[in-house]
Amino acid sequence: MNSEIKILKEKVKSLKVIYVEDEDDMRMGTEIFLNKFFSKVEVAVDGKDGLEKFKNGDFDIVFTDILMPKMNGLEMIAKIKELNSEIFIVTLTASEVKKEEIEAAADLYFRKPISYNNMFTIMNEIVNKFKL
Amino acid sequence: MKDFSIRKISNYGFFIIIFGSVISTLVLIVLFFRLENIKEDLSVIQNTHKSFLQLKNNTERLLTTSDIKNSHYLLLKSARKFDKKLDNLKLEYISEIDNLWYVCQKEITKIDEILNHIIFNAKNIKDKPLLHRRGELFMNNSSNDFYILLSEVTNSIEYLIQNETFILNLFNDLNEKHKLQEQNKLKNTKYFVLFFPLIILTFTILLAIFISRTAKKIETDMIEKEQILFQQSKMASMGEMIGNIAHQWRQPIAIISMWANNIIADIDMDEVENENLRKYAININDQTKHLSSTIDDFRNFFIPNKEKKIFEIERCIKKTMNLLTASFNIHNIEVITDIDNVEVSGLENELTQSILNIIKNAKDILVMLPDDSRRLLFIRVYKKKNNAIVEIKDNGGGVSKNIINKIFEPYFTTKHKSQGTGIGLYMTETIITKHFNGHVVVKNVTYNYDSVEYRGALFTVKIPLEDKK
Repeated sequence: MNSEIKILKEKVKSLKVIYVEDEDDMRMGTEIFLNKFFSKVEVAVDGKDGLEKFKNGDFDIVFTDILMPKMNGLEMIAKIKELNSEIFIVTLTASEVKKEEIEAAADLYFRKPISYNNMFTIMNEIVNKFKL
Repeated sequence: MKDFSIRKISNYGFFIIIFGSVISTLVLIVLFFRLENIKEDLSVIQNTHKSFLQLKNNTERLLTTSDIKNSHYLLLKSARKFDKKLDNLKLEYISEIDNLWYVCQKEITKIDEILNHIIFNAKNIKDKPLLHRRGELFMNNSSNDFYILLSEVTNSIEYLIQNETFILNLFNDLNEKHKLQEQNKLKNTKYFVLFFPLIILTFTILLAIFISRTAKKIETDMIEKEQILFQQSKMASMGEMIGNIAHQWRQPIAIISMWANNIIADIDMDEVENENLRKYAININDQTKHLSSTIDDFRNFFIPNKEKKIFEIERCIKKTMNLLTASFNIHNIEVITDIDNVEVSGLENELTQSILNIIKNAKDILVMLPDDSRRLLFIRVYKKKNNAIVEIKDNGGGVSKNIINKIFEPYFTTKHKSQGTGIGLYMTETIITKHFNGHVVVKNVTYNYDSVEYRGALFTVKIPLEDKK
C-alpha cells in the first residue's frame, strides 16, 4: 500500500477539487488530507458558497457534505450538474437521510466516518474515471 | 381519573352511611313501639285487675254494711265498669275469666232483682247488714217469704264472692305471667338496645377502615401509575437520546478518523513531520473532549436530581440544546434564542425534561414541513411580574382546534405508535403544575420573521418565582 499510495498520488496530482463542508474541524482535517493528493484544493463552507466557488473556478471533482445550512448538498449538486453534467461528485455525509437520492445524484457516496480504506477506494475510482 | 375514583368512593361511603342511619332509625322506632306495647298491655291488665278488686270489695261490703242501698248501687256501678274494662283485654287472657264473669253477672242480676224487691218492700232492712239480719231471722226460726228472699240474696252474694275469688286468682296468675313475660322482653330489649349501637359502631368503624384503605390504595395506585408513566416517558426519551448520541458522536468520530487518515497518509508517503503529527494529535484530543462532554450531558440528563436548588433556566435550555443540536442540524431546524437570566427553584433535570418535551414536540412537527420551507424554533426566556416565562414557538402551522384541548392529556398522541407515547406533554404539564406550582398553556400564533409571515404553536410555561427574603 505504501508504494500504491505514492503511485495514486502521482496519477491524481493534476486534478483540481473543491470540498464543501460546514463543520470547521471536519473541513480542516479533510482539506489537509486532500492537499496531500491534489494540486489544487478549494474549500467552501456551505452549499451556496460551494456553488459560487464552483462557478468562478475550474474543477474536476466535487467533494461535498449533504446536510448544510443555506443550501444543502443535494441542491448544490443539482445546480452544479446543470453547469457541468460530467462533473465527478463524491459525497461524504454523516446521515443516512435521503440515501437513495444522494446515491442517484453522486458518483460516489460514503458515510462518515471515512476510513483510510474508503479514501483509498475513492482515489482508485478517480483514477478509473479519469483514465489516469 | 383520580378525582373520579375518589368521588366514587365518597359516594359509596355517603350511601352506606345514609343506609346505616335509616336502618338504625327504623330499628329504634320498632324497639320503641315494642316497649310501648308491652307497657300498654300491662297497664290494661292492671287497670282491669284494679277495677275487679273494687268490684269484689263492693260485693263483700254488701254483706256487712247497713247502707245496703248505696252498696247495691256501688256494686252495680263497679260491675258495669269492670265489664267495660274486660272488653279491652285481649282474648288470649280472658277466656276463663269471661266464663266465670258470665256466672257472676247472672248472680249480680239475681241479687239486683231480689234486693230491689226487699228494699222496696221492707222498711226496716236498711238499718242492719244483710248477714246480721239473716242471722237474726235464722235464730228466730223464721220461715216467711222475707226470710227466704233474704237468705237467697245472701247466699247469692256469698256465691258471687266465691266466684270472684276464682277470678281474682286468675288475675293474679295473669299478672304474674305477664310480669314475667314483660321482664323477659325488657331484658331482651335491653340487650338489644345495648348491643345495637355497638354493632352499628363496629360496622361503621369497619366501613371507615375499608373506605380509607380503598382510598389509600387508589392513591398509591395513582402515584405508582404516574411513576410508571414518567419512567415510560424517560425510557422513550432515552431511546430517542441514544439516537441523538449517535448523531452527536458521528461528526467528532468522522473528524478523528480523518486526522488518523492524515497520519497514515503521511507515513505511507514518507512525509512524516513531527510538527504535523503533533497538530493531528491535538485535533484528535479536542474531539475526544467533545465526545466526553456529550456523553456527560446525556448521563446527567438521566440521573434524577434529588435536591431542590436555585438554578438558571438558561442551563436547562443549554442542556436541551446540547442534546438536540445534532438532530436539529440533520433536519435543518434553525433555533432562535432570546434568553434572559432568570432563576427558579426546584429540580433542574425535571424542568429540563419538561422543556425538552415541548421542544421535541415542536421538532417532530417541523420535520414534517416540506424541504424547501424554513424550519424555525424560537425559545424565549424572560421575567414578568414575579413569574419566569419560557416561550417555545415553532412555524409548524399550529395545533388543530379539535385537539388543542387534549394535548396535555396522558396517552394522547397524533403520532404513530412507534414515534410517540403520548406522555411527553402530560409529563411536562404534571411537572410544571405539581412540582413548580406553575402552569403551561398552548395557543396558535401568527407572526413575522425576516419579513415573512409564519403560523405555529406557542407553548408558554409560567413559573411563579419565590420571594427572595
